[in-house]
Amino acid sequence: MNKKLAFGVLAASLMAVPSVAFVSAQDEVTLTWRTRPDNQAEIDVYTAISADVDARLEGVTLQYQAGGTETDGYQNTLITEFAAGTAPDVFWIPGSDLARFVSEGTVLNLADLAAADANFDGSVFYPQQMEQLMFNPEDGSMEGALWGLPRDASAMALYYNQDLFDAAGVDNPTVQLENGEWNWDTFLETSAAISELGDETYGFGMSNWWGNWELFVNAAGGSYFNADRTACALNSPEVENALTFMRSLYEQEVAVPYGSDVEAPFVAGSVGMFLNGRWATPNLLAQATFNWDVAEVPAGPAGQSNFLFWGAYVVNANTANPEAAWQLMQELTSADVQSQVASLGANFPSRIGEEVLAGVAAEFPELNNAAFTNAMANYAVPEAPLWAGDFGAINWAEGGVESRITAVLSGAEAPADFVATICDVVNAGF
Amino acid sequence: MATTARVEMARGEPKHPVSLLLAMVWMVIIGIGTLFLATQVFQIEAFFNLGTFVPQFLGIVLGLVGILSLVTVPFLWTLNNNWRIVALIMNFFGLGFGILYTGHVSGMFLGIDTLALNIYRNAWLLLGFPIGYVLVWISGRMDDLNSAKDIVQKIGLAVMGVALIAILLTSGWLQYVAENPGAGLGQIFNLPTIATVAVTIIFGVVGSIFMRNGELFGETILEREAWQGWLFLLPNFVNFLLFFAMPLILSFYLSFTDYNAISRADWIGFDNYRRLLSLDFETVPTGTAPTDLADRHFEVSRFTVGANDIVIAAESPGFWRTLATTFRYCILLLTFAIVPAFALAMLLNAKIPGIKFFRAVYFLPSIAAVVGVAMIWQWLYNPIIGFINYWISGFVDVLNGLGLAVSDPNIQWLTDENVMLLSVVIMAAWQVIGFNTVILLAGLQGVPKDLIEASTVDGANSWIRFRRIILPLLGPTTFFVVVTTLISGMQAFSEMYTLFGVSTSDARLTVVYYLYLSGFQQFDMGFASATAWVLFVVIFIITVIQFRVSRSSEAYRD
Repeated sequence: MNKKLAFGVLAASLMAVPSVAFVSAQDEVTLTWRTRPDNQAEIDVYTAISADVDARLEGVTLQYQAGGTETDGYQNTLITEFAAGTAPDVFWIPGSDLARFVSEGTVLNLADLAAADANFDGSVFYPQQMEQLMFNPEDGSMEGALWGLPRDASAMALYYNQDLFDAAGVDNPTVQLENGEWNWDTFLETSAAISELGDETYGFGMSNWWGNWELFVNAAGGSYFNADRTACALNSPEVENALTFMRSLYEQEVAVPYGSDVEAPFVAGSVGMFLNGRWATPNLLAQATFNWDVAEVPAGPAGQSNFLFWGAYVVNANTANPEAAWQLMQELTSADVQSQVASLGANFPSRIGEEVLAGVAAEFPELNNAAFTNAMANYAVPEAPLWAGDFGAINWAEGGVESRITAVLSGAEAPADFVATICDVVNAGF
Repeated sequence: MATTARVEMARGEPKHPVSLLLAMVWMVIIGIGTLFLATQVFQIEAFFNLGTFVPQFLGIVLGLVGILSLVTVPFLWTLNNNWRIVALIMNFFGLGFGILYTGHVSGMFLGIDTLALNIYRNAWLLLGFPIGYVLVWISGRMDDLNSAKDIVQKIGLAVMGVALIAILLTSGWLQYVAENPGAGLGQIFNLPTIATVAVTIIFGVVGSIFMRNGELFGETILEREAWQGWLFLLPNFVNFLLFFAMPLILSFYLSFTDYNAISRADWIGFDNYRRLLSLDFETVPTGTAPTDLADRHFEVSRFTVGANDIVIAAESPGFWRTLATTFRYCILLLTFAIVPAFALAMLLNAKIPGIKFFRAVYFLPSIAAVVGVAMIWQWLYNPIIGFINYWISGFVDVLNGLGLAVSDPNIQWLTDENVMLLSVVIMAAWQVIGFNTVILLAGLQGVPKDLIEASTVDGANSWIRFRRIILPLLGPTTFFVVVTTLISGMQAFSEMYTLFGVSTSDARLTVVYYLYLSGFQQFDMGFASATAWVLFVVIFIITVIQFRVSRSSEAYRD
């Protein structure tokens, strides 16, 4: 009995192998795409978008993947997946990471697909973003390259606790800006006035990230890199001035110690002003129990300063379906989809025009959205990838700029020493 | 049966069952197939960018497997039992790998997320397992003559079985596999999946044939029990090979390459080790900067000797600094995680009411996930809204209320470089103390009571009993606790990563964190692998030293 059974199974199994050759091939193209959502609400929106776009695209089946958060190493996971050959067909990356992904050969150049598409119009997006996405690192020109399409736009602002301002008896930043008095001096005075409310109350706070301190550096007239971003520019007197001012915030104990978590104490009502990007809005809308709003950052010696942050959808260089991926890119950056994403409150559409901004303002009428949009329209500089060097190594490596800035702002290193030596470190990364 | 076959063999007329003949044919097929596969794998030039070594190594391994498969055939013909077991193991290995590979090509593993999510959503179904277990437990305590015993046991098993089926049906896993475009029915009903399933079934059937023909091969009961025991170890062995041995060998190989995850790995010999360990020394007047260091070497530390400083520089200063931090961390951890554990174990060894409750409470942190623990401690350590500073401030207020002029230290637990290592140690020690306490408690309970009583009769007080009897007899237990705590300290990573996030400060970096940054932030995988192997050697040396020191101790000899 056992012998017969064994023989039967063997024979059946061997016969099954050739029979599967008749299984018909699948005509449907499957595309995987991924973003870096911060919470379940974002995942739900992207999942719904994926289903909508899937229904619109004929012959394409979409599979949305919710990538990890920034702290989960979203970008590093992607690189690891490229090594394993399992990276998604289309994925979102922050603007500052574009050079890294392109230089590793992981991003498809879409210039030919865009040129062949009569319906594509790149001028509907912020030109500062498109300049970054069309940069050709081979010859430094704006010809022959298109690395992706911008998904969103954002800028920094000061989130402020109106209740603390009322308690301290000082005007909020928006009023001071309207009075033409919103500068570093009044910012320091305001922070000090709020700090005097109690030992565990601080006037200001910002996290330890280049986007925050560089904003002060730019407002002082300095910059991280030179104009064509091929060398260090942190050795200027303007940078020293900016560092000295920021350090004074910490020395006078009007700011949450640099490196500490700021968002939690701000939400708890212990911090007067919190410097952060538009992406902080959803959490504050959900959790803050006090009166709050947003305002533009104060002007430094060189005027106001801000960043036009952005992220882009790019196509996997190894995708089997580049045409379908291009179709998907256009769908994901359409006005409809961008307004769905912007309705989360974490960013603005990358498409320009009053109509687009009015749509967002209508979603959040209680907020001073102009604090962001004024900056983006008038004086924000684009978040730019570093094509000539390794920004990760320059900024984040051991002994790199970020750790030196921390040393300065925590009092361990003098601003003058930083300015005198930092460019040796930075220029080694080019 | 076996006797008959052997008699027939003696006459030169061996009689083999058809199933055995087919199994031998299968061994020839997998031998030739594996050899063919080996030649193909050997020639692959771009195997996940890992360079040529990996496919060549895999090709050689596959070739050896193919040869082994062919070699078994003549021995199977002569009904050699040892080679039957070899064939049996090969086929069950094939079955194990086949099941794993079928799960991979059919996309079943992709659905595990769905399974986990739905188990969470239908968590109440898990109650079926404790309920079923309780019934089985009750049946085990019923009298053997009680007719309800079997019924209760079967009901218990049935409840657990129904719970398992309900969980699988509500898990959405099967639905995911059927509908998901990444897996889906299209993925299941295609040539690779069906071929894999067919081959896997054949491996299972042939394995079964070898398993059932033990008597024909003259297998003894002892031999059967031996291979059955090994068979139970097979899943773990496959797991060991796939997820431990292979990555270990791969990382050793990568430590000799410039692998960066994207580009092809090229052999660079010992360059990663040279970069990691290269040191240079220069004597300079005190307080002055070195001027004559080797190329790409940076100062790590300096020692003042008379009017001069001896500057120590390294090509990878971060490695040496983080190694120093790791040692500091280990010393603090050993102190904070063992001394209190000792005290707790002594307390818990006492006969006081509710002692089991306290043992469970102290052990709980050991089974908590590091990430969750770190998030709680992040809040506790928050200098503005955290409880620890709140309590310190309250205590300071009390002291000031008593007329003492004490200022609030307002400790920056997570940002002050002088404190942050201590912050991690406190959290890690809090988590590991419970485990150490249970181990030490077990050791304490193993101390013979007659020795304690005899020493008491001889007039020894509590301290002498502890110093002269308990402590020496706890030597092996203490040694175990020290070794495991030290190794966990040397490998510390998740505590820092979760408490501080991605960091650049050496004060909060350990060697494992450093290799993580090298490997997964800078994607210098070869260098990171070399760092891991150097760390392994360091831990190995420390452990060997500990063994030797412990062996030389009086208690350990006893």
